[in-house]
Amino acid sequence: MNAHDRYDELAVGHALDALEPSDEAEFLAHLPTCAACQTAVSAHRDTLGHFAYAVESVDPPASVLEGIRAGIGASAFPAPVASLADRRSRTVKMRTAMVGVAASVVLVAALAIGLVSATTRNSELKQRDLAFSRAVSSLLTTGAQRVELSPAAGPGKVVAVVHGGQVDLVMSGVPRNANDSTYVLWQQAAGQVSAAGVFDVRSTDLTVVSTGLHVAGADLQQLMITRESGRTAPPSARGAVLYTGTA
Amino acid sequence: MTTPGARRRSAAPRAQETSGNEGLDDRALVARVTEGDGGALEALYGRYGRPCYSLARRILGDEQLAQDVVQEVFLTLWRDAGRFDPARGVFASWLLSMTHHKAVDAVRREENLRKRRTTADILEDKEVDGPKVHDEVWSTLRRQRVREALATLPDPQREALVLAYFGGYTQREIAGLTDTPLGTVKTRMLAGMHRLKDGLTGLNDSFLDAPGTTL
Repeated sequence: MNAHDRYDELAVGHALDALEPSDEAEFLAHLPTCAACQTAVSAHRDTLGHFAYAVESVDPPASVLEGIRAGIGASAFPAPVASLADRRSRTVKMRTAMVGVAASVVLVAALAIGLVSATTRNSELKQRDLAFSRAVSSLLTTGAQRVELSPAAGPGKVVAVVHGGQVDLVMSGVPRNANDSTYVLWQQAAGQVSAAGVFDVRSTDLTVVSTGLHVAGADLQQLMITRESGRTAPPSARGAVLYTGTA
Repeated sequence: MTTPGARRRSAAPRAQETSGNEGLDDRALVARVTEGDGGALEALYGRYGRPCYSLARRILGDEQLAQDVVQEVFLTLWRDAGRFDPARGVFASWLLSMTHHKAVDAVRREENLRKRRTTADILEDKEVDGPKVHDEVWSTLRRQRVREALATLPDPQREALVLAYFGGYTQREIAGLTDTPLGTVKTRMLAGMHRLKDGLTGLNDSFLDAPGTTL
């Protein structure tokens, strides 16, 4: 068994969503650095995609499309809230609409009332806070854990929503990183610190990072964010801890 | 087993490919979604809503949860279509992978769901009696090819892959369920995946990411 064989096995497990959290974290740390594994995962996903056609084919009920339409409609509100946020935050509100058409209609009404109220107060700061709170709320599904990351050496605010080993980060006022650097989310679990994933910040407005960040669910103790040189996470943090929070 | 009549009664109105989206390939539609074109999202739903729902339903064994998953998948696509990187594979695979991931997350959250489903349920390979209209014929052909490829796998390899993919079990859980060392489960999955890939050679071009495919 050569050194890379282990990653060949992990690539299959990753594509199947069947890895244990520790293996998943190890593989996700390796994946950005390995073209062979990226190719393998893509090939495995193509193969597994065919599985979807091996099952009984059933049309979804009309309510699914209606719910999606309602979700799109809920995001169709223009300024002022939408103008404050980047494209991700605009659509974060949609997650709330996933609970169904009725809930989506309520959301639309709430958004409309919120917008009128905010415009009346003409308070951009309050609108920002409102949009931030809504973004966090929309991610707090059943069983999700909210982790507030306090600024240690960075401006703005960051909240992590941990659900099923995945992390969504809601940020506002966090500086953009240069193209030759990256932010790294670190996790401390069972006394060990490891990279949970890397991400870019392209806007100081409300930003949500909702992909590529994975942590060890139940054992999670602390989350930290650093900014590092290069495009991948180093073996251990080299940059200053910018934000930190206890799970 | 769904009867043709029941299937027609429960069928959703298909999302129509309108507003200049007709004939666009998936990549072009995704590009339009990133620009906020809801019609493009509906066109993609028209192509992939059914396989996504069928997959989620199979994994979850619960129609309401499957509907929630599919809605979440397409709203995630709407929210952040830029996550799809054409350099890393075809759109259909990416979308179905996201559907699988979210369905597995859901099935693990709803542990009681899985407890109700036995290993035999998950491994069961149901035949489908569906209406043999044109698109159903295509679906049937796809199913046949995949099932034939699965059937060529040695039983332990097929069992490991099916329990992981349709059951949402982790490798360690599968080791426990099948009373097999964890390392053996990993090896079986890798070998099974390679064999399956060989068995499905040539299927990608015709069955995945086909421009304008009606599903």
